[in-house]
Amino acid sequence: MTVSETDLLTANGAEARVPVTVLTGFLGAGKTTLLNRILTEQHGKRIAVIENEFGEVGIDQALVIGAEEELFEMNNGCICCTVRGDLIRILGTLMRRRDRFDYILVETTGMADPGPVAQTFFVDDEMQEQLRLDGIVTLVDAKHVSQHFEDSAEVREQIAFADVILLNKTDLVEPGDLDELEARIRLMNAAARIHRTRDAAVDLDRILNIGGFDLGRAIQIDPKFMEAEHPFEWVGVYELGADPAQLRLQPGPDPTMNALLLPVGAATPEALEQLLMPAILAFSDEPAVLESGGRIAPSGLHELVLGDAESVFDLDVRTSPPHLPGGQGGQIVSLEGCYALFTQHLPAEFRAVVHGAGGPLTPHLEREFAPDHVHDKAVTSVGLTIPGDLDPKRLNAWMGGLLQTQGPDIFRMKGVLSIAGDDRRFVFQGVHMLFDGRPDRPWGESARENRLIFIGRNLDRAALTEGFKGCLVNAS
Amino acid sequence: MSRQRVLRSGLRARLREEWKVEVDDYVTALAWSADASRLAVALGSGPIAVLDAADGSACQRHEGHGMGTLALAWRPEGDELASAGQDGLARIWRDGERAVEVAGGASWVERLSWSPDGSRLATSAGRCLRIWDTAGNLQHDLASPEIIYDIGWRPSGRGIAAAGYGGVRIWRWDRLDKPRHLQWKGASLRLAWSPDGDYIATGDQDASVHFWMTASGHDLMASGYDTKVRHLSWDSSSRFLATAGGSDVLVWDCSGKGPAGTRPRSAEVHEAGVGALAFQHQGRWLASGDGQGRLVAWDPRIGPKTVGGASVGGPVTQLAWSPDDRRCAVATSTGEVVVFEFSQE
Repeated sequence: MTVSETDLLTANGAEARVPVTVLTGFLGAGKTTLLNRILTEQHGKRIAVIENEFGEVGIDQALVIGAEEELFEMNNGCICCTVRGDLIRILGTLMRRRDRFDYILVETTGMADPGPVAQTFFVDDEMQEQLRLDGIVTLVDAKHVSQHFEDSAEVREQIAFADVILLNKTDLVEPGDLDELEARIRLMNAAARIHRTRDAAVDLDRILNIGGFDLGRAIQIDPKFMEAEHPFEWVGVYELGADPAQLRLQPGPDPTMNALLLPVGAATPEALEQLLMPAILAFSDEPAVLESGGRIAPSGLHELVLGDAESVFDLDVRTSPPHLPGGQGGQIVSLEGCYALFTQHLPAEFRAVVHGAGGPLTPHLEREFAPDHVHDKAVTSVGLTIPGDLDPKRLNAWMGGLLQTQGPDIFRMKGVLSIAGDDRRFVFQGVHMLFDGRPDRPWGESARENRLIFIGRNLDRAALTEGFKGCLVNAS
Repeated sequence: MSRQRVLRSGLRARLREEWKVEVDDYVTALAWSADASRLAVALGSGPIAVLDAADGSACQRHEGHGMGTLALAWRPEGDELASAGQDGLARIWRDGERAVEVAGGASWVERLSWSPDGSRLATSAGRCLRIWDTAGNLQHDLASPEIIYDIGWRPSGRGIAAAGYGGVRIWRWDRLDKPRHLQWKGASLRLAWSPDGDYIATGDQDASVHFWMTASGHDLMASGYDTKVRHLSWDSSSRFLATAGGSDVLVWDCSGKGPAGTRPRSAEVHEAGVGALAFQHQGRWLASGDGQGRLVAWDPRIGPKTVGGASVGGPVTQLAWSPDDRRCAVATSTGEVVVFEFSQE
């Protein structure tokens, strides 16, 4: 707990505001089952439930209040946002019975947009004073959700907004399909915690008081999801240079495929990891078109043109010095050694094999990357990790402009920033156009860097990266 | 000190505690009977207590409304108490007995208002505005396209207004099918007619106050409040409108050419959010209570030097002047009901 949070605390150090969990999920995802568990099981917690889809029922352990959805357009300073008038009314009245509960759970209808619900807690002064939006929990029907990914904006938004996703009805789905679904949801929302459930059975501590909007916990995101989106699906590390080598491919699903060959210090995962960013950058370049028989030089991106029969490309690293990423010019390097071959698609799709003098070569190391095409076209997460200190004026200008133009598309945003001249981390989070941030604990020993994640629609990673880099103090 | 001398030099409000009772629950409504003999108190959990205004002793206790009572109103010139709540019902209590019970049309009946002559009772629930006679017969069933946040009878009794998202709608009995819409793209939370009927003031979610001139439909807007505006009160002369949003109490002067271009009067008397505010029924004094239990009264015509105060043991949620303006009842979220005697010194 940091000093700057104390204004929200009571004299004895306890958070005075009541945590509110918002429960979303498409019809049939299991919200009713979960609510019934909460209302009937002996879990020892006092929870007030606000139900959206059914009438009003009073139950011993919890209060259930029917709510009629009502949206307000509201001017909040210079920005306009939509809030839920019914929630302000109902929560305001519910708080008169503050002594009766410790948590509030708000169920939204299957078609509800979580945005206005979340915004309500940040723009209404009465709500802000008494309540704390703790987290958005989205129930997902593991069996049927994928068929709604394309046709339902609500389903995508409910996933994008979530702090916790309950992948429910796991008993109706094959384990492999479940892994695939989880991976797909991950790509839409890299920041959420995902739990697999059956009959909506979940430990309530996983959905209540989780601190989803807690600035101190703003960016507890699994680092592997902070990595860039990969324009390649596969990389293999080979030892090249001693003998001639060739990449042989058979006709496959596409007439061309991009490939990149880069030297790598060693056949280790760490060395490969360091090569990913240069490879991503190289893949954004215009490729050199290469017909069968051509030479894949260890520099620049190549577009391999694949014929009707086998195509063969030389992997000749001896005839020209490699282009080293990071401009290590003037350094004397051995041309023989480990090279990483990045391919746009999986080699198996083209039965692609690297042949040496003595036959097919097995890579010392290989890695597959989640292919781009399973990304949901509408909703994605863009995680950025960028070193350097930020100029607060530039950051404000950029963020202000971004939120004004793209606010409706940015559902959630969280991050930890390194502000020039401040030895403390700056933590922030946002919902649509609403932004909340403050300095946090000092950086201390840890390396100063900026880590942020955007979850939303139509996010352009390159533009976000470029815009953000423009806010660094040393940006041109 | 003779009463005459007090009045002549009466520059400062004085609030002296007469009695105090604990009702052990959040007080959601407070209302004086027309003869000032009783004080009705509604509690968050539902019950309604009718207290003897002389000493706070209990006269009656009604079970009230399940899930919570939201509104109370004594019939003007009569001896009947109306109540409404989260059971979707409105009731009229006569001699301590439930005499009438009607359905408001939605799960919560939030507002209740007697017509100025006491012949009809208006209830609002969700989008339904219903007008009843004293026997509980439905006179008019009016529907608003938006949820109704507040209602107010036209002072002449010839119509009723409802505030909600999108502004104010006014129904006249001779043209019920065509309510007049005073349009504003925002949520109006509170509504108050000036006693002369010239203005309808609203307190809004977007931290503003609107003055609608009822003759022309012209709208004046006052912004710059810290928070949404939840409290409004006109003085009896229709000159002053007191408003509160957050800890600010701002009083607008509608005399002369009206409030346009003027600056409000303020005494900067509260450090916490204002929970209730009311002008006297006939007098000039304005009382307000805040979240730290501070109660003040002052005369906005003269200014801050008239401020007199008192305190109660919890955040103020309700405040009501007795019909003769000599006493001020205050209630808190912690269940304290206190009656103060008001004087000037």
